[in-house]
Parts: sequence; C-alpha cells; structure tokens
Amino acid sequence: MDNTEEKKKILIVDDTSENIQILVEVLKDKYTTIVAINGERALRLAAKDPVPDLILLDVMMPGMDGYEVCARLKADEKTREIPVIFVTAKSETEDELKGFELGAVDYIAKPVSPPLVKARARAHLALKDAKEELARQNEELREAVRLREDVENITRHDLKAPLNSIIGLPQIILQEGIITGEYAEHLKVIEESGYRMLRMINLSLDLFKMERGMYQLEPASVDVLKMIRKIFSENKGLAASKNVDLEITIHGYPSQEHEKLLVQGEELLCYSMFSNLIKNAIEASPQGKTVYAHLSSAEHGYISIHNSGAVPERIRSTFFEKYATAGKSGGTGLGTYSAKLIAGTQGGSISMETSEDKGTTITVTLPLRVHAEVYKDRASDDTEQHKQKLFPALENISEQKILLVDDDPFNLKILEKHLNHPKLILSFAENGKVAHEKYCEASYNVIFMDMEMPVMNGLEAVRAIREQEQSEKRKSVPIIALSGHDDDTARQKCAEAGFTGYLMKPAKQEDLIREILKANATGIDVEEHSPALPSPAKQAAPSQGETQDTDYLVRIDPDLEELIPSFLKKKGTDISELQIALDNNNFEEVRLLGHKLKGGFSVYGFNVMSGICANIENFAKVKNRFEIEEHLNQLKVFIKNVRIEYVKSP
Amino acid sequence: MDEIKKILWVDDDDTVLDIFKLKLEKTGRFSVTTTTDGSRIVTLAKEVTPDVIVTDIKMPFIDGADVANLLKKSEDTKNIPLLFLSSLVSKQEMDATGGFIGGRHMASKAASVEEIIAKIDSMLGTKQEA
Repeated sequence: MDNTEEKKKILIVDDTSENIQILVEVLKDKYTTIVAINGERALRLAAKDPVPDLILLDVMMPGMDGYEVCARLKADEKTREIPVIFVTAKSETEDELKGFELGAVDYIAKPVSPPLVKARARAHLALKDAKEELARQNEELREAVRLREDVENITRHDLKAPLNSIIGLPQIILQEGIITGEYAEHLKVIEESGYRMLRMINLSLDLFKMERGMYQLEPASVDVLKMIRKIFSENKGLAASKNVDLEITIHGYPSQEHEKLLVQGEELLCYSMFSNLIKNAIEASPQGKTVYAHLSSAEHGYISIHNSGAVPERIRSTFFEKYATAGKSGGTGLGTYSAKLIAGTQGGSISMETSEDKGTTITVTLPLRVHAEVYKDRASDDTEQHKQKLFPALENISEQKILLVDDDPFNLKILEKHLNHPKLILSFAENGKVAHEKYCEASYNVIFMDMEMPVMNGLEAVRAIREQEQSEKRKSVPIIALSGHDDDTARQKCAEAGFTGYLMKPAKQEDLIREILKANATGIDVEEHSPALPSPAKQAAPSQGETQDTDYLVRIDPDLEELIPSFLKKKGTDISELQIALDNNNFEEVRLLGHKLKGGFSVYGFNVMSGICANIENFAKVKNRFEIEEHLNQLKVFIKNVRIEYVKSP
Repeated sequence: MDEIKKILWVDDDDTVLDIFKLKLEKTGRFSVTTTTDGSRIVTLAKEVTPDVIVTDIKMPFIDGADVANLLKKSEDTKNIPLLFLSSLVSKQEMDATGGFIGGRHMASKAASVEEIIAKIDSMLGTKQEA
C-alpha cells in the first residue's frame, strides 16, 4: 500500500553508475530517487517540476564538474533553495570549503557509509521543511497584523462618523432656544461627551502614527507648570476621596503663581500624557499620602511624578510596554505605553524608579522651549524672517499707496498679510466698480486687481480706469492682474485692456513686492489728485464695515464704576491669553476663554463685546481660525476704543 | 432690622464675583463670600455657614453639577439652598417658572442683578423692603 504522505524526491548525480547504484539502494525505501550521470542532465532534471527536495552531487565528473553544477543550481531561482550535498573522494579541507562557499549544505566522503547517508539526508530534508514552515508562519503573522491594523483603522473611521451628529446636533437644537434649563444641560453633556470621544479616537490615531514613526509633530510652547496645576485641579475629587494631597514643586520649592516651565511640544499630547501619569499616581498612592509633581529645568525640562506606592515586582520590567497592567480592572494597559510614545515623539524620554521604601517616581524629560523667557510663537518667527529678506528693499522707497481689489474678503486678508509693512498703505475694494470709485477719489502707486468679480470685473474696471486717465490727463497707474488662469489668451486680453502686469493666484509675497518696487523704479509719482484725500489709516476689510464713534459707547451702572478699571484690565489679560491659545491651535482653550469672556462682559453690560465673544466661542467649536481671528481683532479694537458713560438704568 | 444673610458664591470668573459681591453688599442685607475654586466648596461652606450658595454651572474644572454633588455628600452642607446660574436659562424662562426648573433653583446669567437678588430673597423667604 502506498504511503499517503508524499515521498521526498532525491536527485543523485554521479558519472559512475556503480556509485549511483549504491546510493539508490540506500535511499530507495524511504525516498523517490532520480539519477543523472552528468552535469547537464542533472541541471535539466533539477529544474523539472516537481523539483527534487535534495541533491546528492558528485564532484569529480568529466565536462561540468560538481562545483560548476552547484554554482549553476544556486544561480537559478527555481533550484536555488534545493539543499545540495557533495559526495566525493576528494576530502581536502580546501575542497570542502570550496563546496560550502558555493552553497552546498554538507559533504559526504566516498566510499559512502549507508547509515551516514541516510542520517544526513534525513537531517537536511527535515531542516528544509522547518525553514519552509517558518517562512509560511511569518507570512501568516504579517497578514494577521495587517488585518488587525486595517480593522482598527476602519473602526476609528467608522466611529468618527456618528460623532458628527452627536457633536453637531445638540448645538443646533440649543440654538433654537426652545430647550432650556436642565434639558439644555443634558444636551451640553451629550455634546461634550462626543468631543471627549473624538479626542480619544484622535489620540489613538495619533498613537498609531507615532508607533510607525509617521506622526507629524507641530511643536509649540507648552507651559507644563500650568498644565500640571490644571490636571491636579481636575483630579482633586479623586485625590480627596483617598485623602491624598497633591503638591507641585519647581526647582525644589513650592510653585508660585507667576512661574512657568516652558517646553517644546504639543499641548494635547502633553495633556494626555501627564493626565494619565497623574491619575495613575493618585490611584496607586496609599491613603493619606501625597502625590508630588517635581518640576525643574537644566538642559531639558524635567517633570517627575511621585507617589508613595511601589510598582508590583512582576510588571517592573515591562512597565512601559503595551498592554502591561497589574490587573487593574478597567485599565487599558495603554497608559504608560502611550506616555512613552508621546514623550519620545516630542523628542523627550521617560523613566521609572520604584521601591518599597522610596515609592515610585516617573520622570519625563522634554526639550525646553528655546526662547523660554520671551513667548514667541512660530508663526510670528517665520514672518519676522520673511520680512528681513524682502522688506529691506522697501526701506529705500517712499510710502506707497496700494489698492487691493478682490470680491473674496479672504483673499484680501491674505494680500493684507503679505503686504504688512509700515511703508505700504493699503486700501481695499470688493469689485471693479468700487475700485473705480476709489480711483476717482484718490491716487495710488500700484493697483492689484482680481479678474473675476461681480458688478464690474477686472477687465471692465481696468478699461474704465484707463479711460479716466486719458480724459483727465493723469499719469498711468500700474495695474497688476491677479488671475486664476495661466494661458496666453488671458494674458493678451489683459494687456489689451490696459493691465501692466500679470500674476497667477495665489500671488506670492515676493512677486507682489517686486511689482511694487518695479513701479517705483519707473519713478511714478502719486499726484495729489483730489482735495478730499482719504486719511492714510489702515482700513479694515470691507466685510467688517466701518464702525462709528458712537458704536464704542457703553452705558454702565454707576455702582460699578469702582470695579471697571480692574475689570477691563483682567479682560485685557484674558484676551491676550485667547490670542496665545489661538496661536497654539488650542481651540479648546479658545472656546473656554470665549465662554468666560462672554459671561463676564454680559454681566457688566458690555453686550456688544459679549456677542463677539459668543461668536468666538462658537467658532472655536468648529475650529474656524479665520473667523476667530476676525472677531478677536474686533474685540481688541473695541476694548481699545471703548467709552463708558455711567448712567443709572431705569 | 433683618439679619444679614450670608451668601457663598462660586464662579470661575472673578470679575463676575466682584460685581455680585459689590451689588449685593450694597443693599446692606447680604454678606458675600466668593471663590473661583469649586473644589473647596464643602470646606468653605462649613466655615461660612451660608444661608444660600450660588454657583455658576459652566466652569472649566469643577462645574456646577460637581459643586452640587460635593455639597450633597456632607451632612453639614447638603441642606443649604443652592442656586444655579446659567447662561442657558433665558430670562423669559426664569420669569415664567419663577426660577424653579427641573426641581432646581436656577437663574439666568442674563438677568439683572436686581432680579437675581429677588430670586435669592424668594429662596430665603425674605421679602425685600420696597
């Protein structure tokens, strides 16, 4: 009866048929044998499917010798993996070595000993099987990991979708104003829970990226002292329930109000990391003891969280590994692991020391913020540098009056940012007609004009302006087209209509400046055209509208007079903090401050400002940076210009 | 002469606390203790033994609900009348319900100080002299 298991196939190569006979005799019981008496036939047979599992190869053969056969077998992908055993009378060490160098796995000396041949054959065949099995398992594992990652990704993505409703709808309902009181509070809780979930999902996504080194860090200045205070505050209830005290020291001394410790990192990541570590410390702390946060700075920022409990022995060596828990129910096992990832991603490190008598200290090091004493955010750093490069050229020319024409206030805002220089006096127009009107009233050194605008587009406006120039014998003003198209026909049309320059949108700052310098080089003077020249004050973008003096007037209850100075001062500080939070992309903080300011202004009677802050609060929820900036500017303007009349309300 | 009523007031915004303290104490009928730290509410309540506690609802770390829960846990404080201030309660609602919503005393942050004082008086059962 046939053995159901496939017999392994052995190829025997030798030019002497007697030798072949011997080997076949030895092996035929257990294996299928095929034979070849020269190299060429051997190669042919080896490449024929199914390929042999083992080759016994004589070295001394006429024509192609064993070495060459072996070399060729290894050169061919199909036969490369077949183990080759040299069988030969030659037994000098150098011959053996040569065989191994060529890729043979073993060497059997002639005259062969049958038990030895059997043993060697069995051994090498088993080894080959084991290798193949290992490769197969590796591939399966890789596949499983890939699968798990895909599932995780899909889960995160799918989890986020319903959150849109959970976060968005309560706000919409509340805006209707019908639901109030306790039910409104419930809706707020739903919305905030949604945000909390979103933060958790986003954090897990971030951790995923960090594990793979794919996380894009956007470092900013983080005040860890302030953050630890906040986290302590949030966990006061938890600590109190165990009679645990929370204390912060900085450089060994209790922390003072005004102190800061600025590090380089991301606000949310640090918050998550320290929140985890501190919660763990409180939970691990014995009753009635103190949990400490020791902060200091030398060449790095050091934050050590200490509690009097000791880490259980069995998890000490795997403390920062994924899924390492001490059997804490409800623990995900990811707290310390994510802390390690977060510390590392921000260019820092984390370590743990623990013992029964000294308790547990977890130390996080983070890079210090470079200009620690003076707070500077990256955005302004960049623009400073930029200004250095381009703006020196502007120093040598006189004041320039620039007219910017575009129907999209956002584009105007960008142009305004690019041309933010004391020598450049900017005016704005939202379409060709307004531009023409402004041109009638004043003179400009350069006009930048969008093409596609309602009422009167770029081409029409430029023609109108040129006509005007002709009839009034005014000097031609350089008008530069800002176009979304880059084809010759467009350029041609512009040139014919009267444009003197052409830039592709979005226009780069250097191109804008270059046009201004060009205009100046040709010595075009601004004529004092009209007696009623508008004052060269920087105007707000048209969408904001002009505010009159009376708009800044607020009537306040005279009883409050003594409180107003400190009130305004404190609000000024809050507004600065809001700006800082915005610069840091900390929309949560912006929202909280917006809310606080809204309430404060409202109670004192500054209803307009309260309304502005309500808008800031709402825009912070959807992270609309542009709107927040607009409103923040309005707020700053208002608080600068506000006039108070103390009048008793009826 | 009515005795002076003691109020304990919690809000994260100290400028709001300033204004209410000023206005309430000006009437001569109230003595106001203020704090921005809701977590200290029980300790302070035991110290001050207020007649009414007023708390903002939306506060960053410990919110109005937390304050209420903390007070409920202690024998000495769980029966002190508690007034919630909320920017979500509209003035109309407050007028319509007399400031009693969902089993709780609530006042609108948009209400005038006088209206809030009236609410406190009604909670205390004291009538304001005209």
